[in-house]
Amino acid sequence: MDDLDSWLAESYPRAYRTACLVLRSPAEAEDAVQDAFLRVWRFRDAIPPGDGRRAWLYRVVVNACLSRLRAEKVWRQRADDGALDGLPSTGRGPQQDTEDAALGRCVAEALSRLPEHLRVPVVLRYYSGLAEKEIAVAIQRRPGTVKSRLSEARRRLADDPALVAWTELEVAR
Amino acid sequence: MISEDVLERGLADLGEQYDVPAGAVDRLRATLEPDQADATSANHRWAHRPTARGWLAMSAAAVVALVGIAFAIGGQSHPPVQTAEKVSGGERFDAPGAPSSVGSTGAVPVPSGGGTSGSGGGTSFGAVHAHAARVPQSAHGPSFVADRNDAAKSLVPGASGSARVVKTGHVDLQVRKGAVSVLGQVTALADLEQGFVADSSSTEGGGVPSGRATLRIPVANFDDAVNRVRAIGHGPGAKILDLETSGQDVTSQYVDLQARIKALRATRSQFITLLSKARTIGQTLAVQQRITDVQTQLEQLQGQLKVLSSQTSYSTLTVTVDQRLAPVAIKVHHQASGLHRAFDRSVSRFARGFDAIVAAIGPILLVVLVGGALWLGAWFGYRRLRRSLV
Repeated sequence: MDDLDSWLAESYPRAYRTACLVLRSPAEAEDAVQDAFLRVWRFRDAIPPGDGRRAWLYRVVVNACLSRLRAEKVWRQRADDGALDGLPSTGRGPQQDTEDAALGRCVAEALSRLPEHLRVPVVLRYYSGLAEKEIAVAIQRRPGTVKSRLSEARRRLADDPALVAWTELEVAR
Repeated sequence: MISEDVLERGLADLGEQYDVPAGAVDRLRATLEPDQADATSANHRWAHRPTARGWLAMSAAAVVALVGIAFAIGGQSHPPVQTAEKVSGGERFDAPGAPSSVGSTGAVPVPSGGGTSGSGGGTSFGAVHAHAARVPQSAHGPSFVADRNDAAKSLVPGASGSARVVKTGHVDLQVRKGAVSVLGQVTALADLEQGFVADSSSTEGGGVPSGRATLRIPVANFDDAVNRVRAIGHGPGAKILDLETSGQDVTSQYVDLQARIKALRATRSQFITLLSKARTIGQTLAVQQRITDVQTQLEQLQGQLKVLSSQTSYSTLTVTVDQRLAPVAIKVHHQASGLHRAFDRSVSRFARGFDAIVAAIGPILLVVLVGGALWLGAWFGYRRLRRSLV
């Protein structure tokens, strides 16, 4: 019981930020993650043992987020509302902060142009750090589907000139 | 191609900019604590949840039940409370000596059609038989209906509270000559039977003279009126091409409407009382809105009750009169050789077979559609349930 409690507490920040990236609304994300964790707690007997539980947790979180997205069209409402404006500083120096904020803004804008079925795997893969098999569990699709969706998402993101410029800058460094 | 490192760094930076709400984990713990006690029971509750096979079995049972209901409803051509009489034409009633006076109220020879439920040559609707006090005639027209509803109650045994029956009838008459004159006899019936002419039209000159009249007759006098029209149809040079009457018991609808109106009136009174106690403008407006809603519903139901009351007080009898065309000699070429008859039979049987196939497609399509819809519903329900569990 304590193990589960501590695991949920440890997982909370990343799950919350994943939900924020999917929903782009901190308030909605907090509600979604709370719902998700409540479900995890209620149905804790169904949690798979070992490494599978991380994918299972994200499956519940993603489901909670998707339910909110579909019910309230959160993403559509917040796609252009400047949700990133006024985000707090990370305390890593003005130049680094500015650069990170610019990259974050580019990624956010590029993500906002992705459809939901591509955006979620990208967030799970590149932010939450899930493997393709874990993403497959989380979004309840086959691993092949995840692979093709990630590939399609990368192809679309490569059309974004700002992200391409960032990539070239990284290579130059 | 975009660098995965850039994507990871960008997302990490973006994610880091969302601060975890202070005390969120503690709030979550606080939410989970009361739930711990329910956790065991919740797990126990879902321990017996249906499997996919169980869902399929339940869906199949639902489809079977629905198909059974559809066939039960489809196989019943008329509601059980509805009575009907139909006499089709083809019989000639212009035999000498047959009664022809419009004013006759005695028993009239009547062709017995399928579904006739009465005796004494008339159409019977059970309770509607009495010849009660007549209502004085004063005016004709639709507005007359509302004014005379109370008077009509004395003519309808069930109108004051028990049975409410909507009666309608349709008679097609064909006469050798004088269609307009016969139509005049028909419209005169309305006065004789304490009713009125709701609609009337006639055509003379040029083509074939014809006419049509819609009579509204007190329900108690409906049988008499039908008998009188029959008598006209049995007159010399006349025949009944079609006679159809029907009655539908709407007592339950009537009682239901009355009950709903009573309940709405009570609700309105309560809201009015509440309105007098309202302290703020917001409260006043809210209560007034509710009163308006209730009043609207009340007026709609009262309108329906008025229509139903009119229909059950005055029956509707539509009579059409057509003058027979002069016989025209038609030269018929008989080519009824054996091969020709065989071909005709073949075509006829083909058409009948085609009819049967088309008739069978309807129920099959219904079953497929309903089954498909249920299957889809069950499948999505199962998926939703499964998703809600995790």
